[in-house]
Amino acid sequence: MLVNSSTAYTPQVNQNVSIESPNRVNKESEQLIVREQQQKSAERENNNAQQQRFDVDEQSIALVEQEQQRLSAQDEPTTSNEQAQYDQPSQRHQVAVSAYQAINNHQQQETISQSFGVDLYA
Amino acid sequence: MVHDKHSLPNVSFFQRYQLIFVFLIAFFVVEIPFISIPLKWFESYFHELSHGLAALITGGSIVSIQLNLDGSGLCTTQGGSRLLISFMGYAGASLFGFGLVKVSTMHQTLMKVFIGVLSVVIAISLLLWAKNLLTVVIILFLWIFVTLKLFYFKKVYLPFLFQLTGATVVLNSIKSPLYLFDGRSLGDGAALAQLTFIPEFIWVVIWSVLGMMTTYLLIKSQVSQQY
Repeated sequence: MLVNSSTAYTPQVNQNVSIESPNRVNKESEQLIVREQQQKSAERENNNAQQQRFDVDEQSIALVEQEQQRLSAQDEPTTSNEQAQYDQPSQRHQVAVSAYQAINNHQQQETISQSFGVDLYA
Repeated sequence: MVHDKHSLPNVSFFQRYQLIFVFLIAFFVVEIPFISIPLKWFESYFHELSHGLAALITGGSIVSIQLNLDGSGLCTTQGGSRLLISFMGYAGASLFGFGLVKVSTMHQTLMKVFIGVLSVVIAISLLLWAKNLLTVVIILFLWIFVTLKLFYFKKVYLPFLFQLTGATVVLNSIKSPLYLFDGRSLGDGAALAQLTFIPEFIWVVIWSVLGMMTTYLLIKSQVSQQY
């Protein structure tokens, strides 16, 4: 009896399973669809956010470029002949270099004057 | 021949104001690239020579004179009055410029003496104080230019060349001190400011005014000679 009952029980269990599983699948599938939709919407939002961030970057890049152009326009010589000399350093840089070299030369002159007891007049 | 104030000698307008025209030409010539460079050598040479002569006069000695292609120069001295040596660079250039212009209007004998003395001074500086090849070449060029006057003094264009050279030297002696306004406190003006506590600005003004006075005196004397 025990065996029969057991055998009779088993299909019930199976039946129960078989009865409950379609509902679960439906729910799971619904949940999956919802999740997919949520994921998609989240991805869209992310994309939108990225696009917005990209727009902001473009604006900032444009601003930086404008600023660089303004600075380079300040540094560049004004006459057309000088504009053609691309390798020529800007006026500001030339002054800096000449000042640096002058200090160097002055130090050299001082050194020579002190070493040899002579005076230099330029 | 004596002329009173009401009867002017028979001279053309150009002859009467020749030196003004020469200074006007010199004013533009000193701005022309390449052509102005040999004329700058004269100014630079007289500037450095004046430093050196001031050193010799005040008991010092000249170690070397160096001239560069771009018209810059350097005079190395030992001993002497630093005050006078520093001052005489720009002032001496004005005086030499005055001499070069005046020599063109002098009597021929005086002119020959002046040119002869100048030629000897340049030759001595070439032999004793030029220590590098570039300086030798530049001073040799200046010596040839001056010495030519001894042999071709009757030529018409040489007095004009002397006047033009003298005028450019004087004009450069007005302009060159202004380069000291660079905020670097270097050069003769800074040296004088250090020695005397008188600002560099004052020394620059003195040198430039000296050059202007030289120009004025030359033109005035030349114009008054015509009357």
